[in-house]
Amino acid sequence: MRSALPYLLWIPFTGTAAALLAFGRFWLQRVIAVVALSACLVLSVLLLLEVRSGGILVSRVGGWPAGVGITLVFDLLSALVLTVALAVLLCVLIFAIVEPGTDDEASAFHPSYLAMATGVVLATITGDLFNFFVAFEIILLASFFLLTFTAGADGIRAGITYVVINVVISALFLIAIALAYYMTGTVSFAQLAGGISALPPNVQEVLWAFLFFILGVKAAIFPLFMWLPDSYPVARSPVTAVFAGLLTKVGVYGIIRMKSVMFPAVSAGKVMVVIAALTMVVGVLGAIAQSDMKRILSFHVVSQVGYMIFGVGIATAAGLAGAIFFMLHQIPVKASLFLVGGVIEEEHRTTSLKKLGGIAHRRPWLSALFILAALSLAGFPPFSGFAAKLALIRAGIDGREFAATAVAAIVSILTLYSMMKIWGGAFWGSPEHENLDETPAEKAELPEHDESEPIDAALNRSVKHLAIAAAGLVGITLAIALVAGPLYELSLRAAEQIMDPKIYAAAVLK
Amino acid sequence: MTYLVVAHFAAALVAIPVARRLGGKAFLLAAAVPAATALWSLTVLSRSASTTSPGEVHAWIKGLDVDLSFQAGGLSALMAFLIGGIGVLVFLYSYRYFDPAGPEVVRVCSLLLAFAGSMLGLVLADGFFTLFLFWEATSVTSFFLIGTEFKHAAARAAATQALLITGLGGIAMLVGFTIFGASTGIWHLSGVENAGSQTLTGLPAVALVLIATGCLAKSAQLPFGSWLPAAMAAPTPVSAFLHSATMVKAGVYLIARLSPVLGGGPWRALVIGSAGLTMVLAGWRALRQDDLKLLLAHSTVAQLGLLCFLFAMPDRRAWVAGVVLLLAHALSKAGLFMGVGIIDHSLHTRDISRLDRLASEMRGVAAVMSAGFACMAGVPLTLAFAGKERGLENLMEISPPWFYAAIGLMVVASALTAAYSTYALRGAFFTSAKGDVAVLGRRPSLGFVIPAGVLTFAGIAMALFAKAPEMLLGSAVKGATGKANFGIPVLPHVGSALVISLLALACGVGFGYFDRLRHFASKAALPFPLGQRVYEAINVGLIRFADRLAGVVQSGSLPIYVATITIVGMGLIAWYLAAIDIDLGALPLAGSVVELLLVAACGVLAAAMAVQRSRVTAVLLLGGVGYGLAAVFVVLGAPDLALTQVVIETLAVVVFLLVVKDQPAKFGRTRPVGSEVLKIAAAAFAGVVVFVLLAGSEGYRADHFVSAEIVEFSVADAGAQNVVNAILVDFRALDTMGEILVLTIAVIGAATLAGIETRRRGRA
Amino acid sequence: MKRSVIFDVALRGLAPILSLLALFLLVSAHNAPGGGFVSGLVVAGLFSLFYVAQGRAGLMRIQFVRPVLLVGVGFGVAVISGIVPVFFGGDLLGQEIFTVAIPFFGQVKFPTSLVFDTGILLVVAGSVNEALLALTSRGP
Repeated sequence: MRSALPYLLWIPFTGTAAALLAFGRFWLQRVIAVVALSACLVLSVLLLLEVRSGGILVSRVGGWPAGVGITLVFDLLSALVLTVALAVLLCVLIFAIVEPGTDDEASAFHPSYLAMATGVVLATITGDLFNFFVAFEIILLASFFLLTFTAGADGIRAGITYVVINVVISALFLIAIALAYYMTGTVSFAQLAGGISALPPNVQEVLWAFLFFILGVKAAIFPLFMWLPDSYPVARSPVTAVFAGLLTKVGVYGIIRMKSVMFPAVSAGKVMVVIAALTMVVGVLGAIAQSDMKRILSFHVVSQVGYMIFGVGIATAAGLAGAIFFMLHQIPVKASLFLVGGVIEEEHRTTSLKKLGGIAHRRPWLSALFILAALSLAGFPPFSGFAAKLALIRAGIDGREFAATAVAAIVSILTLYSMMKIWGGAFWGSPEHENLDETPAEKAELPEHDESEPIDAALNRSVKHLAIAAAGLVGITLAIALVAGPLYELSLRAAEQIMDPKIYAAAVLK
Repeated sequence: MTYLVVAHFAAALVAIPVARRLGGKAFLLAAAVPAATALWSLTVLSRSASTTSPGEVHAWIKGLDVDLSFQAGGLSALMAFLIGGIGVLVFLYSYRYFDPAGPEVVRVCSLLLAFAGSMLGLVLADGFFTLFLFWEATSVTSFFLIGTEFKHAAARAAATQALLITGLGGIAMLVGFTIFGASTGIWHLSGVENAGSQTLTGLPAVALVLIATGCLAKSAQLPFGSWLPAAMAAPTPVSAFLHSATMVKAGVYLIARLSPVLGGGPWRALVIGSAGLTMVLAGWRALRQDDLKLLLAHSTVAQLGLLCFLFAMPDRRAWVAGVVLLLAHALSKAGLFMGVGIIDHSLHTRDISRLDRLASEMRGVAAVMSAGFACMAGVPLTLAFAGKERGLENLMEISPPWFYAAIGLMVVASALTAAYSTYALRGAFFTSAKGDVAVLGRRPSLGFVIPAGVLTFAGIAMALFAKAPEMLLGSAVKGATGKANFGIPVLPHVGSALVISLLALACGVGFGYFDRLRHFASKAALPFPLGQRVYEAINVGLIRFADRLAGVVQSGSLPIYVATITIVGMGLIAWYLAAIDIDLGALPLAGSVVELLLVAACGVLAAAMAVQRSRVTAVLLLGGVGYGLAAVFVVLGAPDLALTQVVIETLAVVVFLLVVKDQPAKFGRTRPVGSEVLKIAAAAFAGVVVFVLLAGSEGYRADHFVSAEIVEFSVADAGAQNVVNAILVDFRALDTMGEILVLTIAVIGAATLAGIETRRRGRA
Repeated sequence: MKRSVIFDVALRGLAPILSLLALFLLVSAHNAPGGGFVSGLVVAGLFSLFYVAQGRAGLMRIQFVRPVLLVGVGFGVAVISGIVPVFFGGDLLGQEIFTVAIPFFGQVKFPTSLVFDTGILLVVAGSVNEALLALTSRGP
């Protein structure tokens, strides 16, 4: 069957090429980027509707059968993750265009951004292990440059941490792929499923451990996450937003995909649940120790990844569905929090809680955006985080993982704790009040700040536009809460679909 | 019901622009919303003598048994009446309380409406998760209301404390509901009630303990009691509405709903123990307060303890006493808070020691407060007296072994109530000030005092005209006990309960009246075993621990990160690898002598590079390793690979040389030795594990490789003799696409960075 | 950098040979070692020879288009060559072989992958060229 699947991948490829050829023409690049991502999103939604009842779209690149050539596979899991990811990519792109300073610094922004989108699309729809690696390389390089050239000297230093660790991991990834190929004779997911199941169980476990470790670094699980909080907060907010929202989730997606398709027989649940619990706890404690908004949020990225791994570790369809739903909720909510941070950064030139204060009074609507997203992150009803948290708690209880479920519950309170720290520090209180605590010498260094001073009109306008752009993303979060019922059904169906690797293999190899 | 709840939230949104234009007058308009609730609840109460009204269910997340469902039973309708009725009075009171042009009017007005909606949703909720939704919504609105004066650090801290503690209870409750539902299949309160009395064991019993924990946190019982006194940082109308009359009753309400039908497990013991301890300790604590508002706050904690205590009793007659007291307390306490707010407003202090014979100057307020304290303390001819006496009487009739202790606790608690009521009333209104006298500013207007008066006198009126409480409480009592008629005695029965009640009252009044006795009591006061200080200690400890942990985990050193990641990852692999038999001896060392020599040469060059101190030499040596590898490829029969490798290596050397020409000629040697050792250890470990892994995989070689098919296809279909190129541009062309994208991004990125760098230097 | 006479002379001789080599590697890739990557690298090597022999000035002399544009065009060619088969009902990145009769050469097989390979060549050559320019721009 011919489907529109090739176009889904080729739209961002074409967009990247067009943006490259429009080098130096900022407006043209912007239009190209927005059009490409919108088209991709629309197509992704259409394809989602096509597979919603459990079908799998398959496209053989070059017409070659799976194994010989690369196959694109679009099942419900791909569809859900990709649709949410593209929506967030589009919203953040609009934010970056509106925000002065992110995309007008360098002509390379839009090609890199579109390349990253290409990588995300490729990673979610490829049915081939090596091709998945290539997708990761695209994402890595594009994100590295987005990180460095939007952030100046700090960006280069943070970028080195980011790139060195990821390159080391890439090298190991290659070894892992070589190993898998040596043992099975193929790199196609569908064939690997058969090849790996023919191996002795303990050999399967070694392979799984290797891949889990590699993807674990990408997903930032404990104790492999240290690179993330050191590099993410340095970039400009829109860039951090899309990183925090998306990139670790591509790693989580990889874990879900590979565990279910390639290693259904490996019982790694206990290890994953323990790692998940540690990730949740250490991540949130790390967040509590910070006093900068972006750093707090970056640690939360880690903590929330723990929830998803927990869902995968429960190893039931409900657990997997919980993990998938959590991912769908997490991508927009995390990005929207960073965008709110971006609006604040635009206005105040800082996200340090010690220097901020009283935003609730001056910008009530922005504050409302923050609190909606923050409560959603902490899992308060009726926001999307509640449904996501409940899905995991329910799965944990049904799966008899009581200790880890308790950890997940307590961590959500600690999440609330650090969200309240941001709220109390930046939105309530007043910067002057905080300054009183500092010594006179320190105080002298701070620029004079007068609340009665009229705010620069241009700045005011751009802050308003930015807040509207951020509101779009918060809107997605709210929409997810509204359609939580059907969306959870879809997640459950996606989970059931991938729980049976035979479905996948049959669709690809037929 | 759904519409009524939704209307509140809609009104809360509408209130924002309206209050911005109208200022304080918006409160008067807003009062219409709770008035509607009150009227609606009265219609329910008047007709629901027959049965409970039909529920409303809206689907939300079916897969997780989450829905939005409401049902109004007797107790729910009673609570709704309290929310609506007290709500109206609070809005009228707020109109006088707040500066009409103040910045907080918009916020408070909107939030109070949102709160009223949340609270209404809570008491009408039928589904567990509907209940939880509104439960958390009251916590959140309470958070913002406590933080009204957010410029004050104390208000911020109090708001956070309240949210965290009730949130902690909330999450326990959520887990509890989920366990309960998952193990019994019941997801609605009505379902629980319809299932009839049951004794739970196993998981549902655990669930019930978790749910009860949530209730205790919400109703500020030990060990969660500290947030309520701190929450007094909120403006007085908020304290009167949320933190005395409605929100804090949520826990009591849920206990009252579950208690008649669910037994078994330790939940009753937990609630009775916690509440019994709380009502005594908090009452004692109230005796020590000089701040009238704080005194009332502690008294609220104590009274809530009494309510939880009664509702958790296994006997349904105690339940009846509880519901009477619930009504009595809500009325009197809200009125008392309003009275304190008036005093605060007029004299700018709430300190008893600074208030000088207020009775002579503020007669109305004095009367209102006297009535309020009398109602709370349970003086004869008040509703509270009837309730308390009934409670005692019932306790004396049931006789589990611990009932003496329970009676003792109740007696002590009511004596304490009488004591601090006497003390507060006498200190504020009838004795001269001890410290500097607070000066009466503006006299409170009648409109300010009336809402408080309505509430406090209602407690007396209801005892005298028993029809009113019968109507309000009747269907709740019937729902819980099955009996509709219960007498509220205007005149008490003569019996041992009466004697004990009066004795307790007398003791209490004496304690409160005579300062010396009270002093003695407050000196001997027990510290709150798990109160404010514990919360603060946990807070500080948590932050300190988090700081230390973040310091260890997040060292900021890239070599340490890489080493950690390598060691952890390789350790994980090694752990699984240990389970596999590997025969390293069976491996052939190399395919040929030439191959062995070339590999050895590469090794030597790499080692030489590692110890080399000149940068240029190091680059050349690295190039040498690459050429050596190319030679290995040739030997292994891969000319394509070798060709590419040679060209790449040449270019790499050129590029590296261009890079190092700006650098110092030699590598510095400043790093500490320890870090070097770590790096070498990590690298060596990784090398060994990967080697063993690859060597070990020898025994698991696949029987069939797709490369065979690729060669076949390549010649037959693609018509290509050069299979490598066919793979690149045909079989795996998508990989190539991706890689040239990587290359493209790399080059524009590098060029951009170089450009930024150049510009920066140009500026410098 | 001082211009080296020996390199200069060598370059004059090498430049056409290397160009031809690149072309050969590209066209013959179907049946013999070669392909877009390698030929692109050879072209890039030629650029670096210009730099080694004649310094930055030499490198600048041969810049007929901006290398970024070269990369963009190359990438664009690859992208288009990938999607065109889909328009004709084929597969993404699918390949065809056309046999063309060219005078003197007879029947010549012309695989469509040659277009894709040309794109790769442009990207690789342009990339290295750009890298050389960027790295030498801040030199003394």
